[in-house]
Amino acid sequence: MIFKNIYIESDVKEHDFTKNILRSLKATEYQEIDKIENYWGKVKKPYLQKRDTLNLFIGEKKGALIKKAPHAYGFSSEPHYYFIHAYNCIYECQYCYLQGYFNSPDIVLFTNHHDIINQMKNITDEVGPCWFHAGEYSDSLALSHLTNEWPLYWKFFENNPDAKLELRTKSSNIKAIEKLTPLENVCVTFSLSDAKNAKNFDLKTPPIETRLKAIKKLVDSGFRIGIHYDPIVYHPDYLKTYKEITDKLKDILPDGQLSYISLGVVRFTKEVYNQVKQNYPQSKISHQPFIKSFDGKVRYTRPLRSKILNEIKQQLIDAQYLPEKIYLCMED
Amino acid sequence: MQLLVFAHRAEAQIFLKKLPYRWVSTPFGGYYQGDHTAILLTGEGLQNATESLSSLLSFLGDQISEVINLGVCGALDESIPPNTIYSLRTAYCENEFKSFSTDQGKEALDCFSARQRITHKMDKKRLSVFAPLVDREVWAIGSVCKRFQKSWRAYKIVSDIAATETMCGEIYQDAAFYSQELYQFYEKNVSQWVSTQVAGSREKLPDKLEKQGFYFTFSQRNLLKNLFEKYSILNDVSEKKFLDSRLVQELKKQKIKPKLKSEKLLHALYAELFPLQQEIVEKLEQIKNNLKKENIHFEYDRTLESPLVNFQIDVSQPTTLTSVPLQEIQKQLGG
Repeated sequence: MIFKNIYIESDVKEHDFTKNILRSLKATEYQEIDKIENYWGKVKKPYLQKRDTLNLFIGEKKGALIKKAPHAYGFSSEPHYYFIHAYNCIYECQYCYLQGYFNSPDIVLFTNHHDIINQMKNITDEVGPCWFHAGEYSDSLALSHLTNEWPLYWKFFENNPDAKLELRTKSSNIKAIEKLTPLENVCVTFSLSDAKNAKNFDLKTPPIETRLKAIKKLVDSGFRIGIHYDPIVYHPDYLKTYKEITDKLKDILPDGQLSYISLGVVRFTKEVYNQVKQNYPQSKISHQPFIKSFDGKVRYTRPLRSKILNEIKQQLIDAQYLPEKIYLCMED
Repeated sequence: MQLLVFAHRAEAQIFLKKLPYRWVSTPFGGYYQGDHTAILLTGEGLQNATESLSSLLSFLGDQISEVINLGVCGALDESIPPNTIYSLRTAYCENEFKSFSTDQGKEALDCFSARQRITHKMDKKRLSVFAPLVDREVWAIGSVCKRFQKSWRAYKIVSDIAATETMCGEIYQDAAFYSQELYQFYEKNVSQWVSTQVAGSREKLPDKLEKQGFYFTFSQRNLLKNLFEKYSILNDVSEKKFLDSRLVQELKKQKIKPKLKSEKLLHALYAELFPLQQEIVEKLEQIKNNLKKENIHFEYDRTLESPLVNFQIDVSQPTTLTSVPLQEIQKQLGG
């Protein structure tokens, strides 16, 4: 089992969702706790302990279930929201902001999906067409074969075409969703980087080739696909290596089934950057030519950002993807 | 000198018998000094450990190279066998957000420092979510070592399962056994580690370069350290390979002052690390010099982050704004 210990809130131990996870994990032992917040993040658990002692907490999410996304977060001018159904991720990307965002790397899975869906309904009724994103605080598909929550959401999005769903992932775990009928308003988006950066920085994630195979499978089944080239990490050969991945992508993903491609260069808040340097002092990610940029974040200089983004955007246009489907994520 | 920290004298008794320590009178508790190691007895609990260790490190900080905490702990996880010695990975504490970690890997266990002895099963169950071991001092030792920038480790022998029937007196009776076990473990695993650490210390890069005709000021030494660290990691270049590189060898041969050699080396390293930035700055500097001839003063953000530039023009002098290459400046700042 990938988890060292499992902790379950007493109130949800009989919940179908909880039982389903335990069954999928073939877990026979767990410890009952009162409330997750009395333990998880209560003390600072070092991020890299996820390598050896990753724990799982199951409980009910209190407080905000859906939050408004920041400016330049998503494609199109429609309002964007992200919803919180889990915290943390089984992968270990060296640039991941979760290492400085939460005080514990332990995974939390929330059980109150019905509450999230009710709130989605209220928001859609109020604002009209809008986007809901999964994967802000966790990978939306990595554990989906255990959690199996997406059929619930599918029903809502089938009946509410104004609401759009993005499932953001770095995994190739499409078992749970490939059984579902593709919907026009549901888009599965894959974060990709060139093979060199993926190997260096995306630890424990499926190789790029495996992710491409998963994309092809979903394309063949009729799903709408989005791509995130984000974060792009500079190295002297980046143009060559990104062209290689774009060439592979154009062979399997026709523009007709592409929802959008987002481009973003690596960036950190100061706190996250300090954590990255602490966790990966010998990694190339900790020694990039960064500066403190216009919004206080740690990034490449503006000329380098512009050069990288413009050149990769041009590669995508040369590969016959429509320019209007390409957007720059979190850039002014 | 390596400092061995114990809470109780009983835990340290075999160390004090076997090694040639002498008691030193200090205002901060039991302190015993040997040739290469010293022992501090702090007394039980977080407060005692904090006070004793921080006083000692304020007093003798430069002499202490590493702090090793040794002692007895309880198990919160019932599957942990008694009388086993564990190295500790991370120390947590009740009502304290911060945690302190040693450099020990996955074979090590985490430990929770409790403010009181754990006598109730409910407390044991609650704390077991945080760590499998419990003691009374290690968090304080980690905290003080972090403040004093000392490397530290901790090794604990498990005496019993917390909140069981075991009485303190029973543990005290077995103290000689625990101390003996800790001593044997220390002799076998810990003292050898220290000797390899000492053997590993070596000459620094600026010193090596200075032997080859370079000269670095204090700030240049720091700059070299930062640039070379980036350069070596980004380009997978070892220190030896760098010293043998054409860049260093050619600079070494040049008949210029040592300080100028160092400046050229730092400049070359910077250009290697930030080629685009270097190229843009050189072009903007060229534009700046050309504009100066036209009595136009041009300034830009040296980090290249801001797209705002400033021009100062003396209107009393005959000049023309058409000589300002705005498009070229925009192109450069746009990468």
